[in-house]
Amino acid sequence: MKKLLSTLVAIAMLASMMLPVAALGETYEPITIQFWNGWSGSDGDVLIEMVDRFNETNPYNITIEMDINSEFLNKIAAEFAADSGPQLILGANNFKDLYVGYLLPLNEIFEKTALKQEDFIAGYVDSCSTDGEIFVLPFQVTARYMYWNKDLFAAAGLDPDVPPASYAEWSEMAAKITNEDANVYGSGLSYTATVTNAAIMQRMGGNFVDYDENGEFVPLFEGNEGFVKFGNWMKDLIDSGNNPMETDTTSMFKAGQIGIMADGAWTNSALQEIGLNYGVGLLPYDDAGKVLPTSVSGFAITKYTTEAEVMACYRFLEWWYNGDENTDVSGALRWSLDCGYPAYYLPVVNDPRYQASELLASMTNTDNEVDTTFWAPSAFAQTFTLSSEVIQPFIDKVVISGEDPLSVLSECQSSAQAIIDAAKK
Amino acid sequence: MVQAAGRRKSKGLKPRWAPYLFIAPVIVLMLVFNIVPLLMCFGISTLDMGMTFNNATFAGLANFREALGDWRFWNSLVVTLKWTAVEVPLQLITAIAMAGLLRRNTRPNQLFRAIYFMPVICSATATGIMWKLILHSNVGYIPYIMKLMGLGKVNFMNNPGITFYVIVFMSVWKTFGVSMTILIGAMQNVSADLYEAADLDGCGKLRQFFQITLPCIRPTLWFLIMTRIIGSFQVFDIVYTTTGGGPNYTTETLVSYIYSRGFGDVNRMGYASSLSIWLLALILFITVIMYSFMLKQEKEG
Repeated sequence: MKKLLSTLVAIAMLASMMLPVAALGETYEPITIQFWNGWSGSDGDVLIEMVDRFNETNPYNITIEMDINSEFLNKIAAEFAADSGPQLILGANNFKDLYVGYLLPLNEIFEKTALKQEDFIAGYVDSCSTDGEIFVLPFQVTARYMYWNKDLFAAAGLDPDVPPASYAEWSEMAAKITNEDANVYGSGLSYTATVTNAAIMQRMGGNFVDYDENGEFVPLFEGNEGFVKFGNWMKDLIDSGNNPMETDTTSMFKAGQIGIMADGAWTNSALQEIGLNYGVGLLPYDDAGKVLPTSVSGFAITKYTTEAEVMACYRFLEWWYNGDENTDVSGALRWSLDCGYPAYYLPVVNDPRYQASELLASMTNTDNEVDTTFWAPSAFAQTFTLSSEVIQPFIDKVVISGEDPLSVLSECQSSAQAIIDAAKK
Repeated sequence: MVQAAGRRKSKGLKPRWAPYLFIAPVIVLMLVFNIVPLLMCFGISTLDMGMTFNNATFAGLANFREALGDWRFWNSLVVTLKWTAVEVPLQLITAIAMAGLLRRNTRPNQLFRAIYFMPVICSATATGIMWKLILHSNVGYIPYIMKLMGLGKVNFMNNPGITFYVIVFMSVWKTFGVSMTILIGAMQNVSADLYEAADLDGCGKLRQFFQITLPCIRPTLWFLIMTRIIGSFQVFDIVYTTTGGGPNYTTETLVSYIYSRGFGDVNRMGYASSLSIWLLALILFITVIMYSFMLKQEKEG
């Protein structure tokens, strides 16, 4: 009896020693991932909070060390050139063409995690892929949207819930809203907001660069009547005094001094914070048809990554899109709810919290016929150069200096061709 | 024995080496931050390259030739020359006038000297943002006061006709304190006997200023003119933080254009370096001419 008792005690002691190990389950070696991006604005705070949360709660012993830097683009270029880099980055979808050979294909993530490719809206994933290989996984999609101040609409005798449906209406409503004595302008397009102005230009004149019959890039500026229309329309708005000649019209909109303006989705969070009575929706279509230029940016894993680090990145991405038992709101959903960006991931689109948001519904494109090309086919990696060297000079020369739009467009054609030729070299 | 040891000790610190040891840290810093980058700039200007040496190709003098046919290079050169022609005289005249008024070491003068010097110690970014807000066409209080006075709505920061002069004003406001302080020092060194003699001869204060003060501080004035001209060719910060070169490139100076070529979206470090060499040549040319003119004047004096 005594022998049996001592044996039982020994088994019990052994079992009690084994228990914590069994409770812990699989143990993981600590692993650190360097994560670089340029989200230095106010939405960067949400990113920091989410990454901190992942670091605290993930069971895989993964630590994400994030470096948010406004000079990210220069920094990553220099780092890659020195043949080194962080494991994870956030960049534009054209990184796949800008950094060929530096980024790993991500298709494997759908085999190694619970993520499903069909949950991502196909058009956005396509713009991040080359020949079926996904190099950038969408993190944020944004177009440029129309914002209007409902109080100013009401004060001008306009229906606060009916924004302009065309650019002619935009001008008409702007004229009604403008009140010089109260420092109020009907329209608020900044002459230096190239991407915003280009969103309207593209609706009027189509893509800036496209493929020719030989599959080569060709600029489409020369004689483009839609671009001429934009130049004249914007110049008229400014000359008539219904649009200020200012660089920062978003601040003026926030201060209740602008009736209608265009801007990215990020403006929502600031407007909600100050409690402005405003509406937001898609910008009106024009002569180029259903055009909704949308920029896609996303996660990319660099080649400077071991197999274990790749797996750690996958786990972080899986958590970002789906969350886990410790997370009420996934990163992807939180990005939409808190920062006001429309979703690209179907579980987020179908989430009741997303669907309950009128704001997000008004910015979400549900029309499959819409062309979301952002300025040029996604393989064209020189959109930034096109912006500063061709599109902005067009606006400067036509809108500020009053030069003939057609002759300026001829110059634009040559400048854009030079950019294409330089890229070929 | 003790004397021999002392001789051995002093052997390592021979006076002829001591000056070199003292200036060595500065020489190293100059080599690392001035000479080597300058030599590298010459080398890079002959390459067609982006931010890094990846895919760099030899371009010879093509970058230099390209600059001659680049309208933005010529435009920025004209803006820079215009800046020099307007800003330097304006700043020096303001500094001379203020130095003349605040020359004496009285309490109020010391207070005003400190006040006028204050903008110098402020960062260009802070100054730029401050003036942008003050002059904002819709929320700035100067345009607001002007509107109340019936002077209409003035858009200081976005008008191709006047924005350049507004930026010049900001620059003068920010930097004349340095010139003023140097000139006050020079004016205080002018012998009091000269003024006493002039007083006895019945010479008025204004005449004393032009006939005694100005000739006596001529070397300092030449130094200021030269350094201000060189500085005006390198103007960048105030432009970058206020207008970024706009509207329609009317405030784009040479250095801001060089910056946009090297570090902007275009990312052409080779071309930006060739533009820097053109700028260096221009500054050298003007400095040599001015220096010889100054020497000639001094000899004649």
